[in-house]
Amino acid sequence: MWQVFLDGCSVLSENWSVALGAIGVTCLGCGLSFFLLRGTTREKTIPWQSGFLLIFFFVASVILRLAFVTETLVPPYFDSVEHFRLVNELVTALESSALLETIPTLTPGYYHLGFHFLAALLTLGLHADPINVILVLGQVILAAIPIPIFFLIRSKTQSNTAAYFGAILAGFGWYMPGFAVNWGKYPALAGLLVLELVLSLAYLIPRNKPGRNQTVSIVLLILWIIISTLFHSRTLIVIVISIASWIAAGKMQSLSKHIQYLLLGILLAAILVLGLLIQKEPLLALTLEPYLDDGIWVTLTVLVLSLIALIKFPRGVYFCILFIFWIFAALFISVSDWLPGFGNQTLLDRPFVEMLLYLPLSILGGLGAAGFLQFLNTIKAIPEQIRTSIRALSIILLIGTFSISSMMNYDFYPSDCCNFVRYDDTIAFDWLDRNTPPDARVLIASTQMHVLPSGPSEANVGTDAGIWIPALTDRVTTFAPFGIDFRSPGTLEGLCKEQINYIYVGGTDQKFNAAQLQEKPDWYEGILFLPNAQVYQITGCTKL
Amino acid sequence: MKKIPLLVLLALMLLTGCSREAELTPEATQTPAPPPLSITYCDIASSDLCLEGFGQEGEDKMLILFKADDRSFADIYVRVDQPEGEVAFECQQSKNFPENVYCLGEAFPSESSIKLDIYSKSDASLIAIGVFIVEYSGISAPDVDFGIDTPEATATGSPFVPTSTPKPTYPNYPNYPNYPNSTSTP
Repeated sequence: MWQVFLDGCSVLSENWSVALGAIGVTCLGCGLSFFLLRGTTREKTIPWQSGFLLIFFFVASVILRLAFVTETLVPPYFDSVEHFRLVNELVTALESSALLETIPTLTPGYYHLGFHFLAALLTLGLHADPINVILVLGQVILAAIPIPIFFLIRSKTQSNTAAYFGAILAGFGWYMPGFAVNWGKYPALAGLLVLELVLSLAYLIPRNKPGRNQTVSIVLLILWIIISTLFHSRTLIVIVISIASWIAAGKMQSLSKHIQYLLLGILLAAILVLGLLIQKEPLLALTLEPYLDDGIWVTLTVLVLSLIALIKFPRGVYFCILFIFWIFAALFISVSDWLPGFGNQTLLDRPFVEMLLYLPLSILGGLGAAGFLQFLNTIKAIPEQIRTSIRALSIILLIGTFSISSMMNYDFYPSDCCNFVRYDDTIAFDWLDRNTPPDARVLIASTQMHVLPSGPSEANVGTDAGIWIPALTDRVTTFAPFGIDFRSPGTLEGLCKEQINYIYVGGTDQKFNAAQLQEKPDWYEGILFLPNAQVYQITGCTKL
Repeated sequence: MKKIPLLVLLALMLLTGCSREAELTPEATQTPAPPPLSITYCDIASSDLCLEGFGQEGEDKMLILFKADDRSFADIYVRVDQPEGEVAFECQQSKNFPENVYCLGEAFPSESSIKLDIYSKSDASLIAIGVFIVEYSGISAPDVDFGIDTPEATATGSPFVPTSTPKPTYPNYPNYPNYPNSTSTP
């Protein structure tokens, strides 16, 4: 853990301006909204000690999260290349005051540019490297994700302890949503943060003091819903799910206890059935992995606490259960019937649901913790002093032990699964830039994506560092499946027909088979060999 | 009010930790002074300048791969001591990753021992030395005798069908196996 902290500090000291800028923009929007709402709601002001601890928690989280950047040369996985391109193009557009003309041409049909716009502003404002900005901003956003959860739980329970517990769960309880940075899911992570803000504001507004003008609050809420959609369009679906769940939870609470428990049973059974369906389908089974495999003990703790929460905060528990039900169901609801342009997509996709499940679970945990602490206060048979001791011990156990064990087991560094670009690739890119003609075409490894279990593949994505070649060397690339057979005459013929000059072999598991290229020295000449990156020139076209 | 000392202590811990680290960061180090640094492989001891390994360009050129965490070590050239005389290696910093440096020169046979003298380009001073065995480990160059790790997935090949336009298109939201978890393989 100390090493993580030192690595984080090292990144912070090397990128302090970008980090401060990222912290600034992250806090500004959130802070401003809550500042405008200050005094309008019946919320108790947070004691300054708790506020200080919250800032400490956020700063410490930022430092720990920044350790991720020590082992990443570029943002991970294939999505990040597109983020880099969009940020670069937005920077150029901002510099040339051609933003309005540029936005429609960036990527037709792809419109959630909020994260890219924010990164472009920081890049431009700080004269920073966009790669560093994306990496650092992503980690700062990740560190900020637990903060609105703190406010949500505190608003509901008036317990700082429970709010901290919920925030720690959201940040470090499971490897999601943090692991999503390995997938380059920066817009989705930013969307989650804004979604939490929307939910916090939506929860606070009905609690406005009587007679207060609600216009500012409602305008703020609408503004944040629009911003949230710009950051990640699917958050709009989650906002609708949240509002529907909150209203339905209120209705449930107004029913008799028997009916409430009957409905709760039906909902839990439906979640179980949906969970089994998810587990049964290989394409969806990974959804629950962070919460059932490594995170099973945390999830079980939350489930036990949920029982206590059910007694003290039934509406909150009903909301979380309805929320889980709807996001599971959204995995199976196809949008193709009413939105033909969106192909085989479902209302929510597997990675997003996997990232999102922490939200209801953290809230359940926080409510449960508050319920437990309230329960301790109600045991009148125990003398006051012993009750206080038990309460203190519980707080130490809940926050101290839990947070320490969570953070000790948490992996703050990038996963091998998705870190495409390594040292050798950076050398190979530079070598390609200096030693190949500007119009050279390079073949890079790819694989097909699948959106629905039964649906056709909709696009190809890069599977090694070759995907960064256009962005970093300006050379044109062409995808080919990483399992392509280079010994086949048909393959050589196809490559020659496409006028491809070079083949790039990266260092991931899903790279081209270099052994096959070496089997055909008359067709492919090895021109650069590094331990984890190679470049071959296609020389066999003249022999066809 | 009883909590104030605790909170101040927490803040001090955070600040002290960071300031201690800042002292260790490259910006805080002094410019190198004689005698020259003795360098080793980066995976043994990462330092201001370390050796990542060796590579090959074609069949007769060798690349010496360095990592210069301290950028003042990045602008260098290398001389290799040989009984027949010195061999010079021209070095380049990677354009996008200037801490990554590679030097190009005449190839040495695998397993040969070479002494690297690393000079600063700015004042031609000797800034680092190191003795290494040339190993093209992991390299699958035709004239190097070792195998390459072949992923299982590539065992069954398929003929080439070009599948992309020059610029990568933004993918639709995909599913497994495109987004592996930490415990699953890609």
